[in-house]
Amino acid sequence: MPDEQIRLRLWRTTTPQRERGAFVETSVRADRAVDSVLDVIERVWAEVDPTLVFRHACHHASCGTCAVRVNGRERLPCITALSDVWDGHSTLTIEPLRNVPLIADLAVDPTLQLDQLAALRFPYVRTVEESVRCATGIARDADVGTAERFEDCLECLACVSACPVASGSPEYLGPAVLAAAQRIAEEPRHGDVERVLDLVDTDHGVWQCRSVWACSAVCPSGVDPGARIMDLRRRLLRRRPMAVGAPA
Amino acid sequence: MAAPQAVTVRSPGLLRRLAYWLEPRWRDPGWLAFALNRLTGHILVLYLILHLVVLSQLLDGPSGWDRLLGIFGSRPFLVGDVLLIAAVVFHGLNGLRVAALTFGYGARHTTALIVVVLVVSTVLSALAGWAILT
Amino acid sequence: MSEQVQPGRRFLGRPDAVEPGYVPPASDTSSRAGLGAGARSRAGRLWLLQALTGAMLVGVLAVHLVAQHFLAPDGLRDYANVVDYLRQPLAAVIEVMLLGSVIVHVCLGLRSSLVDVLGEAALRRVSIGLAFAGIVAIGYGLWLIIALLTAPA
Repeated sequence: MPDEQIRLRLWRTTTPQRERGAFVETSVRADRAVDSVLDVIERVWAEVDPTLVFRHACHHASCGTCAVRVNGRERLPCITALSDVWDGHSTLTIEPLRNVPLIADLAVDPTLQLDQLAALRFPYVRTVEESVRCATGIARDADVGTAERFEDCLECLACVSACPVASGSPEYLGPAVLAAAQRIAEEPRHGDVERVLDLVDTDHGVWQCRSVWACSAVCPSGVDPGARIMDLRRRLLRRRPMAVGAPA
Repeated sequence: MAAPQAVTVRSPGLLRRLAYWLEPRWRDPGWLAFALNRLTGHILVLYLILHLVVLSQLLDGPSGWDRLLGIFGSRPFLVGDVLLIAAVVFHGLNGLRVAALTFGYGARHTTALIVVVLVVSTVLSALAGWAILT
Repeated sequence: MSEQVQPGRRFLGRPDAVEPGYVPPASDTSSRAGLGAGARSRAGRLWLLQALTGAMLVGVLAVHLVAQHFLAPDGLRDYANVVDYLRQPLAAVIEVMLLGSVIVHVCLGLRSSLVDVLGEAALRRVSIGLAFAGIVAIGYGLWLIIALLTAPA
């Protein structure tokens, strides 16, 4: 039975206009030994104010739906242990993601970025032999690298929120989309690599990354979008004018 | 699946965009390097413009140019020179670090490399300051 | 729910600046006119040029700073000294390389700052303006160097 009280500063808006929002303070009971941050948010909703708007689904970091900013840092609250971010005395600040359109309170609308991911025609259905081989422990060490799979991306958009370039430039494709594009280039399966490379080879594509590396720092799934964007650049720089044998 | 489509982009104002871009994000060392790189870059652009304008005095021959040397040799200008050298050294070293990232070097050690860039720039600037001011 | 509503700092995050469904246009193939399919895009070529001029600057700017200031008596060359220095062929070549690389690097650097804050149409106009300013600056610098080289000793 939780016996501590946690003070929270929650961002609240009733409209999608962030400028109209403000921090609201409240407190709920909490148990640092077992609670996740999402448990605390849900307790606010269940015990304090049922009108609090937030998104969540799986509770175990497989859907990427619940990402918010906790004390200014992008996190998946479902897998963020309360003890990692709260010392028992301070006020915990929870805000919605940046750079993603807001619905209300902590909930953002990922449609824009998900549409952009869809525009890559990302092949969701893939064979999994190599990951299965790794998971069952029969892979040699040398195989582990090739079985590292981008499908680790939860599309939670924490990287987009952390990126300072995405804040100032709505046209920027952003780390999530660019990392997905790199995965298609790296392992095409049935994806059209040339088409994807054309899509990202723009002023607002891979060339707008300023190598801040905030995306890689906050990714809850180890996707490392920063390094993947650099890999895309190398692929694009290897494109040669009038390459011999290039498809017409 | 949504097909790519042309949609009007409603742009926030220029000042507002700059405000987002300059918002401090101290937890990311990369942000500090990025912000310093932009800051030093823009300072150096302003200096370059001044430098090119001042060099036009060379066209007046010794009378024009040598008169200026006394002003440039004064203490406040020398301190400004040291600051400019610090900006040049940081911008150059950080630029090499960022370019190396694209070619696949340094991605695993960004924070450490930023610290190295900051330390080396400080040491080189201090040495230049010692040489200029003493 | 609230115990108190704080005025709070303004939430600094992107407003809904792009409508749902917006996908940026793919690389403009006209920007690689004559280069054929699979060529580098203009954006990629500009990035590469910025990296190359930056790397070149690290070398030539270091030579410029050391030669013009650290090796000069009292840190600054007087008129006769400047002209003497420039009349060494290697020095003149390095100064011309410095002029070209620094102007190109500055124009591309300003352009990438502007990519981050301007929309597509404004960016195009400003890029043309920057290219023009760069050409004028290089022309001015070359004129200055030639004038000093041909000045009576």
